[in-house]
Amino acid sequence: MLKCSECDEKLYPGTLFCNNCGASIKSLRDEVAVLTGPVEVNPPSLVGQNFDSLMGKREIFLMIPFSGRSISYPIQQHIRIGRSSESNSGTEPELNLQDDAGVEHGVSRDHGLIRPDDQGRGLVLIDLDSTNGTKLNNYRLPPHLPYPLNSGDEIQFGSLLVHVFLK
Amino acid sequence: MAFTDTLQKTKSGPLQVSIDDSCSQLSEADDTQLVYVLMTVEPPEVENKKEILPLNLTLVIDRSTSMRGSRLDKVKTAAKMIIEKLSPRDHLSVISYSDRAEVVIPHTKVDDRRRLAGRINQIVPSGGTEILQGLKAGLREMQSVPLQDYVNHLILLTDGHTYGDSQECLDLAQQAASRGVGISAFGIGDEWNDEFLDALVAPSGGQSGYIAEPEQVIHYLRQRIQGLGVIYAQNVVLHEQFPPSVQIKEVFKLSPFAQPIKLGRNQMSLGTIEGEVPLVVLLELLVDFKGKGQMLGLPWRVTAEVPTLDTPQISLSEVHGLIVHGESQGVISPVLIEAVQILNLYRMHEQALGDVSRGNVDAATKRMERLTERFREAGLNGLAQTAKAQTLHLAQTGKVDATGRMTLKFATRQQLTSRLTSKMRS
Ligand SMILES: [Zn+2]
Repeated sequence: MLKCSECDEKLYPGTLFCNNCGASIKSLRDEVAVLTGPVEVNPPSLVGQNFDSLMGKREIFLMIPFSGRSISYPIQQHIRIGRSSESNSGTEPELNLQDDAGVEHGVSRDHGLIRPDDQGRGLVLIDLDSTNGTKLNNYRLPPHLPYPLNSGDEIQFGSLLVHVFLK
Repeated sequence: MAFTDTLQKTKSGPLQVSIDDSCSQLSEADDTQLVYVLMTVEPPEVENKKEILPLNLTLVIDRSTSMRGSRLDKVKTAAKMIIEKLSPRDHLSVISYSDRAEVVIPHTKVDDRRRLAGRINQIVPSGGTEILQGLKAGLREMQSVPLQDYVNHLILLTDGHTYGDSQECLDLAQQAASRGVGISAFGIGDEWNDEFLDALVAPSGGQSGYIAEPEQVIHYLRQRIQGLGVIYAQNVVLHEQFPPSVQIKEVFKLSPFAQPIKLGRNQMSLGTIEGEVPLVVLLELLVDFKGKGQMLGLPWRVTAEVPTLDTPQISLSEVHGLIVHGESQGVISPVLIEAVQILNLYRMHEQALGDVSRGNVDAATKRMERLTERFREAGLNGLAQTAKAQTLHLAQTGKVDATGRMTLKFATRQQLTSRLTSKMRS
């Protein structure tokens, strides 16, 4: 917490005006910055194995803005991503994108996989040689190569956006 | 197979959404941080020139004994002005209510204006105020036509408290909103319940307003009708799928009018987009995020109904990225800062009222003194004077002056909108 210089009220960092006395929180404002427009996301480095530690994390949340769906899985689970309807054979993938307009977004039946890294360092995302590819933070992944997956990452299966959060 | 970039979609589609935030202020602090997010939803620059939908308007007029005299007279004049303004395609019904409701003008097309105006003249004051009766009758009349073919709006006018039926009124407003009926409510004088009217208009994202003098009734209703007459989009709803580390503290609409927005389960009704006036909301978020240089995605979706489109139901979704920076990268937009500043003054006033209702007059008086000073600093001298008068009244009587209270509350809201509009233009 930070303190208002005029009335000593405790305030959340980021506060622009003291909610108790109305003072402008200038000390912070001098060093503030603003972001407008689309955010540039750096492509992940192919060499560095940058894993977020899974310590204390129990669940992975996958959010699909297109449909507003948000699904959580235990962190140790293997999550197959694809689409299947009642008519096609085979087992249903853990993340079935059929109803998120999977066909229209170019999602393959067996599109990708999220699982813990073999050495248990963190989670990885693997593209299963899908027709329209898998992008991680706007970077197209080569097929069959495990890739570190961290909280806050954006995945595109075909053109369908999915957000990843670890909790 | 269509591959569309979600970002492009929001820039050229039937609605444009832009987002500004105070996030880069986020340092590597260890605790929860406050982030302000300004969201603007507006029509595209090249506007669809197709004809807009006709209006299906219902006026629900308080005719309780306290309305006798200039209040009811001015309301009648305003109602007749509305009849003049509506086009022959529009539909109108008028209800007057006291302890019971009376259908003054049953749902009709606005064809014979003289006949309709004649019926308005027949409203006479008597009885108490039971808003539920009026609302029920109004919504019933309104549903004489298929709602999807119209812009449906109910305007309630009252000068008193409603007793015992508030919850039923709010339930009814919720049902109406889910069917696409907007509600605006205006209080005349200072003996009505502002919190109740705020809650009544909240489900549909409508407007509540304070009419101090009967002479102002015409002005406020004309403004409202002008807005409703040029609706570009209605039932605008913001859906959020924010990650668990983000908590929405409060949301306030700043344009086309200032109004608190009610937080629903992952969604909130923002109301309508009127003409080319952008819809602007300020969100205050508590963010618990510690990764420097990392992005925290805020997935959002806006749904709305744009009647001029072949497929009126639209849905836009994107993800706004908040990035935690260690170093300075520029300045927060002045529009955002000013909006936060005036909203903060509005909240200080609400807090002072809270102090009084908890019996802490001293705290309230001190807060009002500080508020007076802050209004002055912000160049809002009229509000500073009202605040000063209220401070004196509080100190002398230990009570809040009702007119001062309403004026401060609603005039500060108006300032939020007018300052924002002028800042955005410059
Ligand atoms: Zn302070």
